[in-house]
Amino acid sequence: MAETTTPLLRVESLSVDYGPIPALKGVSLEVRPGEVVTVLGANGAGKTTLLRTISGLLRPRAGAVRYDGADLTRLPPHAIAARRIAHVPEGRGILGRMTVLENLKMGAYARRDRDVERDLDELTTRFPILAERRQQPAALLSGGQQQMLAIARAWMARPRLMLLDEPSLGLAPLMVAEVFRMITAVRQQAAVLLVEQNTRAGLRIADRAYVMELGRVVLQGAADELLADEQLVRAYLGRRPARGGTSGGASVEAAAPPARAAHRSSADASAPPARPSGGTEGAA
Amino acid sequence: MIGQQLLNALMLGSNYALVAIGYTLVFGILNMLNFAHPNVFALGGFLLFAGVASLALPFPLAVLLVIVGGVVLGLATELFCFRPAEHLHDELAPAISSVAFALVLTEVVAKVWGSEPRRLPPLVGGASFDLGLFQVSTIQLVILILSFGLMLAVDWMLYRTRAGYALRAVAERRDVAQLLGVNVRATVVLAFALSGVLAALAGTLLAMRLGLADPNVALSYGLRALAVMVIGGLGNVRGAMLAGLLVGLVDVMTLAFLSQAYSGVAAWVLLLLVLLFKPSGLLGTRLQRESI
Repeated sequence: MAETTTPLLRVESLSVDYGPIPALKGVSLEVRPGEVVTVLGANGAGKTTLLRTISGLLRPRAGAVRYDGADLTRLPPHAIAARRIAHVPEGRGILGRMTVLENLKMGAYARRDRDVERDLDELTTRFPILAERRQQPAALLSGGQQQMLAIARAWMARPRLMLLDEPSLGLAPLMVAEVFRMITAVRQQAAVLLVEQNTRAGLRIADRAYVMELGRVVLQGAADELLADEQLVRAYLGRRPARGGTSGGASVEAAAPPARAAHRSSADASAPPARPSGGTEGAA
Repeated sequence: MIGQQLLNALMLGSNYALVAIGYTLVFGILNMLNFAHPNVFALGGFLLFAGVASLALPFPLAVLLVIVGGVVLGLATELFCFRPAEHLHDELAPAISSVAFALVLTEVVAKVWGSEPRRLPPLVGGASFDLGLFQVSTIQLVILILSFGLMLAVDWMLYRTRAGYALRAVAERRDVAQLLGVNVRATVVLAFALSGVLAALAGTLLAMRLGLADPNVALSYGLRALAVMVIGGLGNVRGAMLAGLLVGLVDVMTLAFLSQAYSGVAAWVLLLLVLLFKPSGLLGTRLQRESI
């Protein structure tokens, strides 16, 4: 692909281990200003590890994370947050004992400017439910409301890059639509790196996408092209480390979709979010 | 009579509360107990003694000495007992180290001040006010104002300041707090400094009430404050305050109406009751931690 703008985020051959087990094996990707980039992949592909390494919670064994010309690789998480990278972690990361309002204020923790109150007003006007329940402990919100709060909280950081880890996980279809509407709003202000298990919704909102498998990027391209060739994408998503049957063949080329493809793609042709609860990503 | 007892209960209870808050701050953030805490508490009384008796400082300066001493001891506890074991992800090693540090502090007190209680010189004028129900002396008034002022200050700090938000966020979800920009190391250090100051000041306030600095309060009062923390709800500062006042009240009432023999038992009886009927503590709302 032709490089038009300098990337905001550039991940270079990132390798991360959990003890003796490699989780990322030389992952490279980039996000340009204003872009929405989706990372797809089955459970255990390393998507969450990738995001946690970018925001400094995990230390890579090799490789680098560059952002806006600076090297983030050895910085502690709070210093990375201060550079206006907001990370909505898997499972939402709501501070349940703090109130909704306090959660939103925590979103602006890294900010030093004086517009926090104004942004709070704007957010609560836009999302009345957050205003309504602002004095309640955040733990009392429903799952979908918590996800909205998590994204709203990240937005309070006025980020230049937002990392979103499975925002639609476990939500009812209506809430999924709402959450994706929020992401569309976020992209007016910030670039987005989105990890999704909802392939179609993830590709629809994205400019470009990467498909990961067993700690590697195995496929990448423009989102609309991948959407057109959904079979191919699903071929990679269907393979999992435990029962793929081809665990030795990690260096799969993009042109060789494994045999399980047809089996998986037939199941969810229509309603995208309605996964059985024992599905691929739930237990993480 | 009952009014006088109430006054005693408030003084004793707020003292328990202050020590328990210190335990709670550290426990909330690290999920670990600091066993040097009661010794810092006892040392607080001796720092006051050193200030007003040995150095003949005016009272406010002596309090300043106590505050500085409390911060230093809190930071030392973190540096010597907790930080070296940080990477071990082990909850026992720092706890044992803090027991060792407690023994060191005990020996330091014994070497410097002896192992007997030391009598404090009179601190403030002896005038007392008649408030109808009870009489309150100037020193009692000072103790009450300082104790409740400190409790309100801690509450204000936790719920109204940036540092307080950071402390609460780290206590609940360390990783999320980091992602939001909180410097966890700095927050842990802050918790220990605060904890040390509160322990030392509580020790000073107790010494003021008793009129002497006593090394034995570490094991009596200081340990009871541990029960107070559990009664209030682990890691819950407001719970610690409430439980402190409650234990103080029951303590004073048993002493007044039952027998001296039961003095100090209240904390442990209440602890048993709480563990039986509401194991999460009075204000315990410790939510299930999400797995990471």
